[in-house]
Amino acid sequence: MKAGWRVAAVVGATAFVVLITSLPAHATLSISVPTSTVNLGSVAIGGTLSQQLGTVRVTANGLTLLWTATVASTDFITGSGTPAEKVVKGSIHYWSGPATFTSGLGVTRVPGQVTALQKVSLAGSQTAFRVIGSLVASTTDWNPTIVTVIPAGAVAGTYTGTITHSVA
Amino acid sequence: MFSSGSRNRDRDIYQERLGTDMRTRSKLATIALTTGLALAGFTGIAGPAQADVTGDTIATFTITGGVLAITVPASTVALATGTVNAGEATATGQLGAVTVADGRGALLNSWTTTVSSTAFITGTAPDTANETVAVANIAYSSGAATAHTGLGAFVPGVLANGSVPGTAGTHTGFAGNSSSTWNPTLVFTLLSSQVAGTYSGTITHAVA
Repeated sequence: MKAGWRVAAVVGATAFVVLITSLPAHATLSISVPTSTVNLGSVAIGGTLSQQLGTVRVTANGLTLLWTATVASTDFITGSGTPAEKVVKGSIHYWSGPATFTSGLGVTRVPGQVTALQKVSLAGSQTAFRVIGSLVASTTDWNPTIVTVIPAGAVAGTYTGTITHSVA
Repeated sequence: MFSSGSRNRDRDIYQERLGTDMRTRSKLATIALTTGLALAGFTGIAGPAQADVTGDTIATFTITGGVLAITVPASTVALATGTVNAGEATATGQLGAVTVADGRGALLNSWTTTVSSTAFITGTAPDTANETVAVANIAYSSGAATAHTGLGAFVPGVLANGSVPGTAGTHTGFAGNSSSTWNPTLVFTLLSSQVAGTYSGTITHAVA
């Protein structure tokens, strides 16, 4: 009887392990952005630059029902970054444009800003692109445009900053 | 006879053994359960590698600077001196707007404007001393700026007789583009023997 009990106990443990490993996978979501430094152009003081950043891609599996990609910018700085040597992020504008490549049918995609007229200032984070309904794995690409409005009081030089895309 | 007592004792011993066995069995069951849970813990937590949900793109742009430029009244300016009778000590008139536009987009937008002049003469060469107002007898005063844009300030220049060529005006150093305009006054000191006539000369402004 003792032996019988022990066997039963061991069998119970095994059964436990099998149950856990057969649970379903979880939702996955990832974003890839241009990683080489992007040159947004050259212009005189008081002018405006308009330049595409490069392709941003969001990949989601079939369990990701919806997602929102957001974009934010740092201030752009030249020299030692004194107030005159800074173009604040409020002068950096963004418009996503429509999707440039998609995969996955029946996915409802909403670009952040379809045309240049809808461009938004990156003084704060902004929505770059959204999927508001999806039952399948999907890929969504877009190539956003950065519009830089040079203030009248800016100083000549080459300015550097970072634009960050996130997805959740 | 105490045979029942013995039997009870046997029974007691038997019960004791059962108790031990039960406890052993419970222990085994507990251990198995714990092991099962620990294994499940491993399998559940270990999943695919964490995917990137954020990405940074470094971007640059260049702001190009323009030039520092000066504009002066076009030739010929008839200095509005009013009627200057022979024997008067001086003749005074304003030249017209002089403007320095600083488009360099510099961190320090400072500059200096210098002014020089030829002698003012009347009649035809060779001119005698009485037909000439020498450079040393020309005084220049910029006066305060009549207009200014951007950061920084225009600092007026005053040049007494004998100081031309000299500094007509300067701009203090602040950041960014700026523009300054002034209307200088010229004072010609005349000789008591100065000849009557219309005197001409050239005033030159340069900025750097």
